[in-house]
Amino acid sequence: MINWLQVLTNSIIWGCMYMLATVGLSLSYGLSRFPNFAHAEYITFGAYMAFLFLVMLNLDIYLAVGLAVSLSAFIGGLSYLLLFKPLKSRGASLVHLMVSSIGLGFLIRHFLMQTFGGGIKSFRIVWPTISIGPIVTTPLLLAILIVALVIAFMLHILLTKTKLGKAIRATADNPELAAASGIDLNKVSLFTWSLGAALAGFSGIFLAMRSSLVPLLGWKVLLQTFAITLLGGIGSFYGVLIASFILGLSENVGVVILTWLGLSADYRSAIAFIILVATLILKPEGLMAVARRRV
Amino acid sequence: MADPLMYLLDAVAYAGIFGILSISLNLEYGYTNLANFGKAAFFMMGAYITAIMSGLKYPFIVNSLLAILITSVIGALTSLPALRLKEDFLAITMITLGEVMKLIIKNEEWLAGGVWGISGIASAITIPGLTFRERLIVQIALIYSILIVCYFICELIVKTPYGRILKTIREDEIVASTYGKNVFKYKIQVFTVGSAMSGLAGSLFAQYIGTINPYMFEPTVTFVVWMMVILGGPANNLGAILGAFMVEGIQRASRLFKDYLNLPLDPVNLQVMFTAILVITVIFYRPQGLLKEKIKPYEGSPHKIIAPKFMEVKSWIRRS
Amino acid sequence: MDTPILTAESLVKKFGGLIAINGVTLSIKKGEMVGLIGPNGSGKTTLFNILTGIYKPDSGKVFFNSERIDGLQPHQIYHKGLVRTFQTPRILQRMTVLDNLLISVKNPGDKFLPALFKRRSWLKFENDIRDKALEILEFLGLEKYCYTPAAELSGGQMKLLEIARALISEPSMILLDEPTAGVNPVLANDIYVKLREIKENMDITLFIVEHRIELLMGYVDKVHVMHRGKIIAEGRPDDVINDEDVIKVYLGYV
Repeated sequence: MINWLQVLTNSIIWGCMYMLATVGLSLSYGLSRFPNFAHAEYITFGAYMAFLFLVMLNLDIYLAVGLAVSLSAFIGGLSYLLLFKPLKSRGASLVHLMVSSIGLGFLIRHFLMQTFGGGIKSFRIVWPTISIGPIVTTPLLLAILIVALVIAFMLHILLTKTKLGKAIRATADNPELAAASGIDLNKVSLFTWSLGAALAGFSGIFLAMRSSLVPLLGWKVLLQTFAITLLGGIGSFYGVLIASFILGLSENVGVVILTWLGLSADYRSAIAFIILVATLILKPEGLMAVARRRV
Repeated sequence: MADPLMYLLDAVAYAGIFGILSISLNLEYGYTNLANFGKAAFFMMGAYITAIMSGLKYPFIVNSLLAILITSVIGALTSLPALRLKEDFLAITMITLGEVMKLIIKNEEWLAGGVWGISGIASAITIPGLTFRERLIVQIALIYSILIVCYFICELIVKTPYGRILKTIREDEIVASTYGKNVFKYKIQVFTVGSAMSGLAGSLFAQYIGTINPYMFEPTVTFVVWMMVILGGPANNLGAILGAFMVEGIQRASRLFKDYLNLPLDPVNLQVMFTAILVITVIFYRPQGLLKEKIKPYEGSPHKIIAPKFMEVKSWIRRS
Repeated sequence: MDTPILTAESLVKKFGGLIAINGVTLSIKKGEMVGLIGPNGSGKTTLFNILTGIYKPDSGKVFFNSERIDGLQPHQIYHKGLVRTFQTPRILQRMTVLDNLLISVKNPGDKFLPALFKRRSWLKFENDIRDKALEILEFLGLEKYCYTPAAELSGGQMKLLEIARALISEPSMILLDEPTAGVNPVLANDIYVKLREIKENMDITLFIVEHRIELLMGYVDKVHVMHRGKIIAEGRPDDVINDEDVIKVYLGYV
């Protein structure tokens, strides 16, 4: 007997996690017009920083998470300022930008492996289980849910109500026009890259706390983040929101089906691949097209 | 390593195998601007097909032909949805394809030995009574003859009107299609040829090292091949091979550091970090690579025109 | 002589909420040299993009030599004999000027297997076509540069190269998108002399988008005026210049 309510809860929580992990990728892709493959490593970076402050330095959990998220933002901003902005101003091609982003990703990952070692690490926190009716959950998963919803709401306010948010959307829609109407592209990009990396770092902390901390933590959700970005429509926050929950749901229902078929549950990431390819075939501009692609 | 010569010969063999990957990527990226970030996936497919077939006691020639066939078909099929779109979509599809391929191989133990991999893959050429070193030299001869064949095929392709169209697609797809070229068709063909060559390289790799497992085909492999093309010089086949030698040399050198210098760094981390910094530096300061593309008179004709010979009466222009 | 070569019937194209082309109907006769003018953003280039298959119209039909061509891919339309040039020259930078021309011709070596295995046949073709390419380059004054990488050409030479590239495939009609944009006035006049020569001697129909109205009016047989995605006037240059609507929306501020 399958507890469908439990499956639904898990889907929502995974959707929240994916949303945090992907928002930055989608927004920076929309603004800077290239997929940043190093984004996965911001996720890993955030988790390792949290491990450093929380477990190795024994700081207070809120302080540790705060520091880790700020450092992720710093890395995201730095990679824009020192690598991608100069490359773009030199007129680097799309392929060169993508290759550099992969290079940057490897640099971050292997720097972490060099500093912290390549083994599996744990936050050594045992979460008690809570039962709400037929649903079993943990405080961590509830925290993910609450944090993600708060952040989503704040992002919504940011993007619709503030000048900066409107500038982000205008730039993603049409960079030339936005620049002509006096939007400082550099400032907007720097903010978006930092914010995106911060949220990615946040999701990394949750991912690592839920299971364990490994150097491939972020790379393992790379497939999911790209599937969500393309399905939602590059550069669209609301697209990411919808697509995250679609993916969370299809993965969790998919696992049920996989088990029923007698296949390994590891194939859940293949579901993201199927969604990605299906998007490219059926609706390459995504559910909510923002970034217009022109000739 | 006990025997420095063996170490050198091993490096030479690796450089040859990666040279094939490098010129296949050069055909795709350097000439056609197709961003294939799935090199490791096709390399792995070729290697696994060879390993599985070798387990069934088929000879290398059959295995490698099957590897070429299957990788080219899979390459064409998986690239289809992305090829109509821009190059970033192809990059995303291919990089994720590599992950899915690895997932399948890790999980299906009955097919490919799961995480343990496959060992005891028969060598392509088995001559009884040879020492280890002599066998290595035979291997190098095999690998390099295939590399040379691949090199000439690529050179031949790019120096025909067909190759000229590939360059047109690289420079400007809109021009290629407004001037009558079915861009999509050309991209599929190039992708298929490139995938087939990667599969062949994987096949050679499997029979060379004898044991394979999924961890040999991490995305770093793809990145290393990109490094080779970007460093050596895109759209220059000799440059791509030169790049393969240089990157392999750098990698071996960083491994030697560990053996002789006792650095407090893990050699793999050092190697990857160094490669990453190098590739970013090259993109910054010499995006055209070490050997530049040669833009020169088209070489297809049997005689070059020394002085433009124009007819007095412009027969074609004056026709009415 | 009076048969139409290109006909468009009530074309409509929208981008999001913006209506770029709003019911364009036009007909161009074989052998004519026709101009298309209109203020910036009136939809001229979009119209060209629809005619050559880069965009698909939302509704409406396009006929070329009485054959329906809307919905075809750009490369299919090219093979019907309709080619175009671009407003900002789309030159293949890392190829020689000669190669820039030769890509425009249908060559037996264009296909994968013949390129590899039928060398003799395409080599022979290549020799013949090269002579023709050099003739065209000479006609446009570019023969000195035939082996130069195209990136080294000046802006005006790039415009000429665009025209050369369109000519070599012996099309029956060329759509020229601002052939004199960014070119000095002397060369601009030369370009129109050449275009007129092309029209007279080679039996090629020309359809030209142009901003230099006075220059254009001196050479073309007929002019269409576009405004906000519609054709608001058409006729002989003298008539159009005196048309009240045209003066109001377009010439009024010249």
